[in-house]
Amino acid sequence: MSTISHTDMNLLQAMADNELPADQSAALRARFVTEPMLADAFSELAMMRALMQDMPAVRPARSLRLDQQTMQHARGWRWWLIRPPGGQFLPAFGVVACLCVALLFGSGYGPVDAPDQVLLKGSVAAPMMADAPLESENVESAPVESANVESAPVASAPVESAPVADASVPLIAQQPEPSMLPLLGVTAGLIGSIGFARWFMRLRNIRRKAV
Amino acid sequence: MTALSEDQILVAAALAGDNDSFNQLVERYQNRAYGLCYRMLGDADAAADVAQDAFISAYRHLPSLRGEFRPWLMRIVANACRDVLRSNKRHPSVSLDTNPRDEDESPALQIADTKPNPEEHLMRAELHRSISVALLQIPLDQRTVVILSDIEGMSYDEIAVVTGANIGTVKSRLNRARVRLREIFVAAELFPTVRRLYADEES
Repeated sequence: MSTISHTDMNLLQAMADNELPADQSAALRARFVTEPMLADAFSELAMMRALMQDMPAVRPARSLRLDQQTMQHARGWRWWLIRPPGGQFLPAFGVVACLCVALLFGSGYGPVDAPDQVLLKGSVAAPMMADAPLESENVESAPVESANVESAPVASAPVESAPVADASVPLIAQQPEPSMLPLLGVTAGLIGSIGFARWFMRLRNIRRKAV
Repeated sequence: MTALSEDQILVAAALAGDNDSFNQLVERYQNRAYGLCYRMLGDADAAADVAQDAFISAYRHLPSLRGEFRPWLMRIVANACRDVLRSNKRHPSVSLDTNPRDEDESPALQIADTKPNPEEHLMRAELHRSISVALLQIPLDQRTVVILSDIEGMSYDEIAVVTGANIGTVKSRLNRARVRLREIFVAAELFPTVRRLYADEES
């Protein structure tokens, strides 16, 4: 046994597994005549393999089925993603959450701008606000004033009451306070997405079953 | 669209919340899983426990299953056995004939009942026991591969998935395992018995 090389042993096993090409198999068999150790090793390997294939199947003494409680405990985070607790309401909640997010951003409660952006926005907007709205305001109020005091200069009053340099200050103050609403909206959106994903996977499983 | 196997349908149903579908998978593969545990651990009770834990683990990770269920499950089972052996820091060399179900219902006995020669049946049972004991004496990686290949009848591709090794490594481990088993058989002078058994069968 010890004189059989590693290569020959590999060849013998490949032949026992029917994985050796026909020409190599024939060459190896031809060597059996001159090298009886090879023939013995091959027959021993083949017998051992046959014995193992012939071994009885063993069966567990008890059934290995999982009960409902074990399954509930066994569910990990992946299960939560596809079957979250109370998940039957999630699709509906997802739609409501999406509506909430849309209303939230539509009503101006979007992400709060950085302070420098607010200032920039205010300084750019200030001259425009000093021109159009204030004049129109005065144009509307002019008939009322002119009814009472005819000699009053219509254009002088609004120019005094609209200092351009101070316009940015009240504009910053008008920006909405940092709110939890966007955060809540995003959270609701995430939960809604999970609900949608779960609904989608359920649909896919139904299709699989149909196939 | 390709047709899905029955395993895949059961997996999909289990993922959709049908626990009974997963238990159908358990029933389908429990003998195979238990057999692998039993051959690797050499202890019937420990094998049942490890196989049960493997099924629980399989259920827990079912959402992450990609591909075929059987090799994936057997990989979990093999890893569970490996973990147990490593944690116990032992390689049991106890006899494997203590499994009561073996004696009651094993196919070996069913086959033996149909044969006229009780001596041959005893010889075969003794050889199977010797193989089981010899399996426990070879390294774990080689043992896993030879059990999956020669006893469970899995292909090289499936074994590669189960063990996480490439096919070349699988073949190499299988060859070394068989050489080692043959050495054990030669040392125990078992081959004369094997030859006699097969000679009787042929005659």
